[in-house]
Amino acid sequence: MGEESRPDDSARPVTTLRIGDASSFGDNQWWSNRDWHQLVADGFGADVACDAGTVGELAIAAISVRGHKHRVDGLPNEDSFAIRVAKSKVGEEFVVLVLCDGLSSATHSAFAARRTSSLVADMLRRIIADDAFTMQALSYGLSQCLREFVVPELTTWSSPATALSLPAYGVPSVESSNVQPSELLVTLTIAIVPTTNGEKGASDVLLGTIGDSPAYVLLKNGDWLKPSYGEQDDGVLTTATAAFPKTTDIAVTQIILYEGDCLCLMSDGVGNFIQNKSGQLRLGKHLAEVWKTPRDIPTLVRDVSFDLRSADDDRTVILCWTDREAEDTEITDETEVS
Amino acid sequence: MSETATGENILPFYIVCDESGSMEGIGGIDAINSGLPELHSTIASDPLVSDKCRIGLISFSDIAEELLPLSRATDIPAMPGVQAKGVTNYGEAFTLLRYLIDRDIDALKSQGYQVFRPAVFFITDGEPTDDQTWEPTYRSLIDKNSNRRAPNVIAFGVNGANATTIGKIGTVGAFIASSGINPGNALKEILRSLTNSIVSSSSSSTPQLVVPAAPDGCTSVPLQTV
Amino acid sequence: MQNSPSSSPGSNRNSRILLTGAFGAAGGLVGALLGEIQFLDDEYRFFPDNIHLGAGVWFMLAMVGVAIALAATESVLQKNTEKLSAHLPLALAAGLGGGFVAGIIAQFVYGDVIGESNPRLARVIGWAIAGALGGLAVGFSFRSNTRIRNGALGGLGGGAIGGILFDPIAEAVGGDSAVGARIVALIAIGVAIGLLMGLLDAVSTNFSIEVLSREGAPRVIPLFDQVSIVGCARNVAVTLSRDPLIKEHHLRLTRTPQGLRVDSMQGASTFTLNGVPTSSGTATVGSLIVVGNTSLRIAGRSGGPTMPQVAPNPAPQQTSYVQPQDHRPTTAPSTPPAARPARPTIQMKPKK
Repeated sequence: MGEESRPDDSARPVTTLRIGDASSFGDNQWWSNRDWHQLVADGFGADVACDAGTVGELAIAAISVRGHKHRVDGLPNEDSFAIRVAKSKVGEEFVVLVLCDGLSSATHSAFAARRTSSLVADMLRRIIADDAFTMQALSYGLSQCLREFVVPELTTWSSPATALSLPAYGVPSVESSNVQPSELLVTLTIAIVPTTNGEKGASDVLLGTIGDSPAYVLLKNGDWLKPSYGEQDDGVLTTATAAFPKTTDIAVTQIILYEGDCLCLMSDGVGNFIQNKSGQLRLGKHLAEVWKTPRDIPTLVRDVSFDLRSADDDRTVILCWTDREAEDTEITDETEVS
Repeated sequence: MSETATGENILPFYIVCDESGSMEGIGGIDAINSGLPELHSTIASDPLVSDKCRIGLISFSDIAEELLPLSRATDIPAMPGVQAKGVTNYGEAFTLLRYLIDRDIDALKSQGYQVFRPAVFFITDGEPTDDQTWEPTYRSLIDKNSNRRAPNVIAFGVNGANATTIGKIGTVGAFIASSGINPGNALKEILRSLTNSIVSSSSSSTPQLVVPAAPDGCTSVPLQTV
Repeated sequence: MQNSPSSSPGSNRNSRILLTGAFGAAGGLVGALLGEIQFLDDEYRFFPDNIHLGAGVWFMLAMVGVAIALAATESVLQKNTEKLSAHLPLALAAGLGGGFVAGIIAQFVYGDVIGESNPRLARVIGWAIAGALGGLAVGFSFRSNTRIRNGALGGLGGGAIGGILFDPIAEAVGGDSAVGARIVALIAIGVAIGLLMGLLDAVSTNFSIEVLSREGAPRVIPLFDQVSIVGCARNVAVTLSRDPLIKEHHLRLTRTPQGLRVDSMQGASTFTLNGVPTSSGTATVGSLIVVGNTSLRIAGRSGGPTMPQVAPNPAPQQTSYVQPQDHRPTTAPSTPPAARPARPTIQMKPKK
């Protein structure tokens, strides 16, 4: 009788993706007695959240990582995302991508991010399934839909009768009537993407945003394209300092996504380090190279967990690859990006 | 091979400290020199703050001196302390500040950092001895139209400082020690207050200067234009 | 908070001068005793028939003692015995050669030029030349142009003073034998040479380096030359031999009008200047340099700053810095601008 075979644990632990000089957190083990990575007492810490899968011709991966600022303070991840697949009445299939980033100044922004992303994604799925749905109609009516459907649901909840009846969203333990909208502020970024590429490999994609969480298109040549947003139906351009639900005026635009492009929704914890007025930053340059094609999930988590000084905010990305026929790429152990 | 910028965020803080002869008599020199290690320790031991902020120390009396160039707290093993000297020339301090801010921001940007608007904590125990001449220098420092790197200034006055003058110097906050408060103790509280300001400002995900509450023994002074 | 105050630079300077004088005295004693080897019944042991060569041997033995003793002062002042092995061989060789030549010249001046007409003057000239060449030898052992100059001048002056005192001392010591007089006189010559060299060294430095230590007062090392090297090599101006992170030639310190320019040398790691990591920068009095595990502080010569105090780094291209205005207050400052003690250095607490 031979010896029992043991799982192969010979692989080295995952090494950090370091951008520039190591931060103070760079070499810190999360379990160290420095207590720089504290558990969230009320739960919903969401240190690492991930959804990934294929739909139609698309490969989708969403990763959210709790930032150092919240880990040090024992607070939950204030980013959240939601992904739904929707079918229109005429049989077109879309994927709905929603990303929310709670404002630090808002007391219940973590809850607001979770709740808003879920509410908006569900609302968009219902709208897509409606008879009257067209992309154009949606782009005109989106602000109104947010005002009429999402805001009331976000700002009201039943107070739990007992501690055991808390809803799954970790709703605040105070009466909703005692919570001001300013305590629920989040940025909101949405994308509605057809799951099959259109003629000549091009698809019409609807993008919408309130606040400063950017959406990028990563082109095949490695450039990050930041779409510009047009005026609202009331003629007011949304500013980056706006937040939902204080404002429901969402800036919308339609872009064309070509086969081989990758649509990237990001919170500013990542977006701020992609590029600036002078051009691509080091992280942006690296991600432009490695995110051209889908990667395995642990590596994507590692990418989003990059170590960069002063990058202490929560990080969330939703990646939508339009070309799943990725070439076999060798997994390299990139530890430092020069 | 030139490296691509990382886009790391930096908040520069300049502590501008009066070291005129009168500071010795009120225990101000000792208060500052004993308070600086506390300030440093608080900032250096906070990973969120130490990675993001840079601290510089400037002293002024007859002339202004850069005692500590803008540095990351964890890179500072020691620094020159303040030492009681001559008179109180505000203009020298503002002139040096203007020069150093330009120099430092140029250097940081050339290294690929994203630099936020500098913050200046100005501490004095008396009226300016160059009272006829400091104001134009000050204006050229803080005028955002002519100086796009104009800092946010929080001014603190103890002992013989004039509340109106302190109110003129602060652009986002100004505080004066209450009469009857020991100036040395007031200075210790001021250092604690500006430490809290640095920590709060750097801890925020979107870095911005957090004006502290009035230090113990101090009251807030209305801001005035120069 | 821990302060690490050094003794004031003024007292450092004085103690350096006195120590050099003391070593000069010891060297004079050693030289005198060595020189007695050359005497046998009041005649020269070696080259008894050639007065010039005989005098050369005696001067050589006398100056070797002074040269070796003065060369040893540096390793004592820097508390670095390894520097002895760098300085002594050169001092010995140069002292032997220089002393021998000086003795021949001195005898020539004494016997052939001035002769019996003015033996005292001849003795002064002779010892001045011997002192100059001996001091030259000491300075040569330090591999420093400035110290060669100071050694030659100090030796010249000290030798001349010793030569002036030679006869009065001999008369005062008295006795039948000249041995005592020679010994005392040579000690006086050694003291004079040492004091004068020490004084010239002290006034020819604008900067010193304080090597900070947890164990006690810092070592103070004056910088004599326009360019000084910091490293672990024994033959450089500032030897840091106990720090394994420091290369043989690690930093170059160059005097400039703005201060002391500090550069990492090729192959050496960077350093921090006042807390900022860099490979080059300009330091002024009070600046703190950390290289490897060693902290160095720049001190002045007289304790007060000798260079402009604003902006230690070179000015940028833009002319946004406005020079201090001319219309400063004409009233005298409340504190007289006498020499002030150096700024305190505040040690930061270790990171938790």
